[in-house]
Amino acid sequence: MKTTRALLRTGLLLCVLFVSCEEVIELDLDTQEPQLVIAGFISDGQGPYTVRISRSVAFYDTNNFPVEEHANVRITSDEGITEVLTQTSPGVYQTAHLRGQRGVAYTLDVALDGTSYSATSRIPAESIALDSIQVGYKKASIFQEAGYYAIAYFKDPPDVANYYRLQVLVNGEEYVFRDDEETDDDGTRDTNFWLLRDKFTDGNVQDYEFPHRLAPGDTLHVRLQQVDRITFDYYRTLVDVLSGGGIAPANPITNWDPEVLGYFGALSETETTVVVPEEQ
Amino acid sequence: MLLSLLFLFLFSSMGITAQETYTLSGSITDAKNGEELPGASVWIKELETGGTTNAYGFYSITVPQGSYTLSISYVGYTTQEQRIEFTDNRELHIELIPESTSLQEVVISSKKKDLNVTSTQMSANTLNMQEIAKVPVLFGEKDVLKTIQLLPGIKANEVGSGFFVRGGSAGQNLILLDEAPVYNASHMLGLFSVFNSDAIKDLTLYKGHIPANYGGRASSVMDVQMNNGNNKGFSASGGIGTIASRLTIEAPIVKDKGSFMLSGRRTYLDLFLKLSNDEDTRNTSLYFYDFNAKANYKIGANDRIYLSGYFGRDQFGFSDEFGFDWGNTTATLRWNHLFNDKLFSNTTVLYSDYNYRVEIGGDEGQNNGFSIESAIEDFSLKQDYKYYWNNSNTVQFGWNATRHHFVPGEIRSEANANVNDLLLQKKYAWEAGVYLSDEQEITDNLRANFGLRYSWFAQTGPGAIFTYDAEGDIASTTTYDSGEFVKTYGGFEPRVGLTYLLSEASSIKASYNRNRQYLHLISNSTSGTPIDLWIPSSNNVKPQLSDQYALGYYRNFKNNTFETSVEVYYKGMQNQIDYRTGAELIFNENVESQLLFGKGWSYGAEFYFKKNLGRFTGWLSYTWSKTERKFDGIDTGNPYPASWDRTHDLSLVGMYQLSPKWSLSATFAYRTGNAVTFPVGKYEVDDEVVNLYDTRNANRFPAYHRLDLGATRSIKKTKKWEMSTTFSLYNAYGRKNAYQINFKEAENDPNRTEAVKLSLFSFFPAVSWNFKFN
Repeated sequence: MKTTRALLRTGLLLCVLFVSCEEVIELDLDTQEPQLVIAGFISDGQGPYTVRISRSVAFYDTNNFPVEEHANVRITSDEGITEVLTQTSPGVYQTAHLRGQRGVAYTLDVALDGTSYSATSRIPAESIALDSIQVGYKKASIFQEAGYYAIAYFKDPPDVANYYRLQVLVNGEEYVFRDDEETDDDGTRDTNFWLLRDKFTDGNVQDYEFPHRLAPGDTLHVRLQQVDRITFDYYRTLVDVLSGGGIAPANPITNWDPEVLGYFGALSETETTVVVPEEQ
Repeated sequence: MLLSLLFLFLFSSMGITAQETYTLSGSITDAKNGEELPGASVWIKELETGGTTNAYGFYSITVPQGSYTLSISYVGYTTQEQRIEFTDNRELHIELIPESTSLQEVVISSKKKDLNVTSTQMSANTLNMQEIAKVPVLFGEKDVLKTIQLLPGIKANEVGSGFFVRGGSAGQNLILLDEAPVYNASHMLGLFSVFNSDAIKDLTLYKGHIPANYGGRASSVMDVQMNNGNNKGFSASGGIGTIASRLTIEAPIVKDKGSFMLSGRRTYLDLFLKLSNDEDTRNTSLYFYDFNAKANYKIGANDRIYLSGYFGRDQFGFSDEFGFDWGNTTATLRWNHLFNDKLFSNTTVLYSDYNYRVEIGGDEGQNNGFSIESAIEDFSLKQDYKYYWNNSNTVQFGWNATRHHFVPGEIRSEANANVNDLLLQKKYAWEAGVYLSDEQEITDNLRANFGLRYSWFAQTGPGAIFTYDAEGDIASTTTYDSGEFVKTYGGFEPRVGLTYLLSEASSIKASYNRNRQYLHLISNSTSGTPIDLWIPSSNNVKPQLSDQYALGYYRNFKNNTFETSVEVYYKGMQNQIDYRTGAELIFNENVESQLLFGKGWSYGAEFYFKKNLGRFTGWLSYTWSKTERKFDGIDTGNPYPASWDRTHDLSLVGMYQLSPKWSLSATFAYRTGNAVTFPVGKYEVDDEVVNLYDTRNANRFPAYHRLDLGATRSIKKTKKWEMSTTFSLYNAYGRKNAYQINFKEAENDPNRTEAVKLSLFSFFPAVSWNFKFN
């Protein structure tokens, strides 16, 4: 993570040195007919769990995505428990009673316009809790500007591959990253996909450093999600697309059969809140 | 079948020469510094026959008894004529005098004046250093790799280390520096090449009909040779440029017997960073350096030893917190031996290494830093023979063997780091080749070059070798001992070239060649980064294979003042590599499971028009081409354009000698934008607006075009001192060429999305001052 950011910084520095320039251009883009998107999650946390069904629009359209209001949506566990979701607002389907259990696989079935779509995901068996969030002052360096930064600590179980996603809210809102405080640039909103795996850190206490620059008195809310490898790969490929797609952009992987956009994921999560202490 | 055909041709001309014949052999060198002149011509006027020197300046021709006039010529040198009587085998060492540069006849050409028409070689481009010095380039740093991209069939992006030859990918070019392979030929993410022009004598790029003595890459060979060093007296040259300085010194070890050359270059961008107000910028180091060294010594009349090496490195760092450096090291030891006046031998020992290293310092006093390293290392032995059989046949044969070591990645951490040590399994391989070729004059008008190469490759232990299922998960594991063969590959690589002379100034050529490639470049960028990974062929990765057919017409006008050519080609490529969606290529023990295999093809037409002599010189090159790939796992198996596919590619290079002091130059390049994938819509998940993608590379970047201007003022101070100042302006009309296009939330309306173009280098002026002392 640090390395990536340092490399990005290298690139950025090279660009700045060699006088780069950004401008908005109009392109003649092709448009695919509206594609079906089904996105939903179930966790070991309190419900209701939500499934959203919508469609894609053209790139130059406004962000108003048509919804599907006539779907039949059902979640079934591999232990045989079933609940049919009810539509609570257009295109939004929710559970009423279902409670996700660790170690159990859930299947989301959607019937729409005569086609059935199905996706299965399993909640990880073990719960991993955040041990602590520590906030400290850091000097300016290549990795960050001077300020208060938070590190999340938790213990990774040894000898098993684990996959995590962290989400952060600062004072109850998504954080906005500003590249340079002096410019009036609107900054980049935190997409909140802070992904972590134990490939290089198996069995250790994980210390995830957030790049969010905090001020004394800020309330920091951190959620740790534990997912399986396929869900992690979905997150990873989704982040690839959100960050530009690389040289051969392709839609994120999916577990929908037949293939549609979106994903159905099952996860285990824990949450912690801390307040950045006022300066002494 | 092909083999027997080859031998048939080879031996068909035996016994024809009944008349008493003698051999004339020797070397052709520069009278001023003793530098050998490869490709110089020896012509016997009365017989209308002759020969050219090899890479070491050696020639050998067979002549019947009699008295003849020899004409010895090389472009940029005064032609010498000599009367000679043959009653015996003769050795003749010729020193040619460079045409005085104050005459200001800028000369750009292949070396023997009509070689482009008469030789059996086609699809090859040679650049000499005089030529390169005049062409304006970015930051005013003359660069062989940048200039060669102005020739037909060779393409590259503005930034990025790789180049693309006739539809081949960036990893399919064999780049040789004094015969040693260079695995990453770029500095500063591709803005510069590793070739310091002051240390380079000559460069040839083979786009097709690759001679049989080369092997190992599917697309092209770029053969770069370093200067040997002045064996007549001390000389120095160098320059101070906008971002780099260079110094080269040359001197005899023993006059006329041996010499050495030392050359260095370093950029000083980081020195400017020190002046910044911003502490971050001040603590940043960012530079590269190159060091070339070469020495040679003649031991008696028939033996000569050369030792040469290159060491270069890029350094990027930020105080003690972060360091990233990468670079190549090569070493070449050669022994030239003349068995007799017809048989020339060269024995070579080679070493090459490329590695990168990332260091993360960790927190002060916490001992929690770590480092990442990756490398590829080669040891190689080569034996080449050239046999000047008779005037109709020149035979080359030889063999080589290489041991490859791969270090895919190693993480080493300090005691308190939360990162564990991780040593990805090292990989090992053997690669070998044996070849035979004959350059033959079949009739006065028909010449042929037949070559056959057999290449062989073995992936060896020690290590655990995996197989993968369709999903890319490990299906089985087998453990191999040190040196044990895991998988071997091998096969023939035939090459045929035919030249038919239509007249003294025009010819038709046709060629076919097959190449096999056993090492593969794994990269998730369009055109190369320092962290690209070389992997060997293995039980999971088959060798790449390419077959190329080319046909060309060559015509020179006005006594070789103008050269023109048209070439068409078709290239088929098998076992090409692409990547699964979301492939993880770096630090992945199972990188082979992330690959997809398919095929590719490319065809095109290349037009070239060049003016070699006069006050105005330069060339026009235009390529029309199409490159497609087909993979089962991509776009449901439909063909898609390669990202480097460019329909139109035009370069115009002009140089004008305004006065004895001033010369002007300009280059213009126009090319179709790269094939890219633009979104075909957008959708929403997890409160994020996500771009929707469909067909691979169905869109195009806007066309790329650029005009560069240059002016050089030369002063000859004294007989010994020469100086010149070069001014250049890159991207003179400030075209904002797209480097990247990002599709993102609109700056002023979060409910909309927009396309934002990022461009680099809208005009960049530079000045450099160069000197030469003889």
